[in-house]
Order: sequence, then C-alpha cells, then structure tokens
Amino acid sequence: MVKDDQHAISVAKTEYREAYNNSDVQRLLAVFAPGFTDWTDGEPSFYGTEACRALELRTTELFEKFRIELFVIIIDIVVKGEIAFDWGWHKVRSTDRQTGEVIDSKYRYFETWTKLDGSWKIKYIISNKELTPKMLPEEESTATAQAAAEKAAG
Amino acid sequence: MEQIILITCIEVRRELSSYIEEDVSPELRARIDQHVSGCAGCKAVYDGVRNVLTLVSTGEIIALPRGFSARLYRHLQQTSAD
Repeated sequence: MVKDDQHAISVAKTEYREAYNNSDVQRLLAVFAPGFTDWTDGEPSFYGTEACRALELRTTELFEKFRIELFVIIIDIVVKGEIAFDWGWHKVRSTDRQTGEVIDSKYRYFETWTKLDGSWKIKYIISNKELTPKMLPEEESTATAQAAAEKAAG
Repeated sequence: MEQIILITCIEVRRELSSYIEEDVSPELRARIDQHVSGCAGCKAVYDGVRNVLTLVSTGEIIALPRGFSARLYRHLQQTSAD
C-alpha cells in the first residue's frame, strides 16, 4: 500500500515536472492542494487561497519570459497514512525566450503531501538555493595530509 | 511524447545491481537512466558499483603501485590499534 502511494506521488511529481517543462500553469496548479503553504526560495510566504493565486501569477509571468527545463531528483518519499513527505533537488534551466540567455539553478526542496479524494496533492513546499559543496576544515586537512604522504611514499 | 515517471535515489540504489546486470524492465531502466543522468550522487554510486563488478568479473590481476602493500599494511595496523 505504501509502495502504491509512493508510486502515486512519483507520478504526481512527474506531472509537476511536465507542467514546468510544458509551461502549463493549470497543470501545475492541479498538483497542489487548495490552501497549500508556499515557502519557495526568493518569494514571500503565501498561505491558503492566496498561495494558489500567487503561484498562478508567478508561473504565468515566468513561462512568458522563460522556457523552463526542470530536472527533479527525489531523494526519498515517506508515506505515513494520509500524509507524506518527500525531499530532493530541483535543477532548473531557464532559457530567456527573447535573448536565448540560459540560467542554471539548483534548489533543495522539502514538500508535504496530503491525500484528497484518493489523489496526492502538495500541501506545503519549502525550498532554498543549493550552494557549492565545501569540505569541513578537518576533512580538508586530512585529505591534504594523505595526498602529501602518498606523494612522499612514491 | 512518453513521460518517464520519476524515481527516487533510494529506489535507484536498491535496484542498482539488477540494473547493471540488465535484469530490470525496460520501463524501470528508462527511469533509472533518466535519474542517473542528472543525479551526481547516484551516478557516483553507479560508477563505483559498476567498476567493482567489472573488476571482480574480469578476474584480471592488476598491478598495484609501488609501496601500496606496505602502506596498506601500515594503515591496517594503525586502524586496528585505534
């Protein structure tokens, strides 16, 4: 049963990706629950019916200006009865429809899902921009020491 | 155009050895292909597993760099002492 729900959420998340990749606002909105919470990176927080309207306006403007290629990496989907959560990355390539300029961005996301009339919908989304990976100071010094030792050993 | 349904990192890693052994359905293969093409973490795990299986299956004797055995022995001694 959990496996079926995980698969259903994968399908819904595929719809989310396809909505972006086809610049389809209504298809995107259909993946969200009415009254969801939107804490998307770079945007003000929106709640309830305002969130749906804000997402509609934002993506309409986005799709007019850019062609979007969304690549979704879901790390895991956890189902607990009628709610679920998933997290991962959204890799976004935005191509300016006028100039052809390409912008690549990567976001970490966390979502909760709710089951409404048998369909899984996003109830809460939070995302923030991914940063360049960095080693911890102790790992960096260990790696440097190991490299020096291997060089000395020939 | 046919939509390839997303797959999670957890599922990809669970299916990796079957995927490498070509023991998965065409549908699952397409989903894993798509995921691995864009997920650096799963690509690294996939490359690692594939390399190990290739090395094990060929049965070739691989020449180790000079001093490797001594360094490995020293490291094992240090690790067991800790």
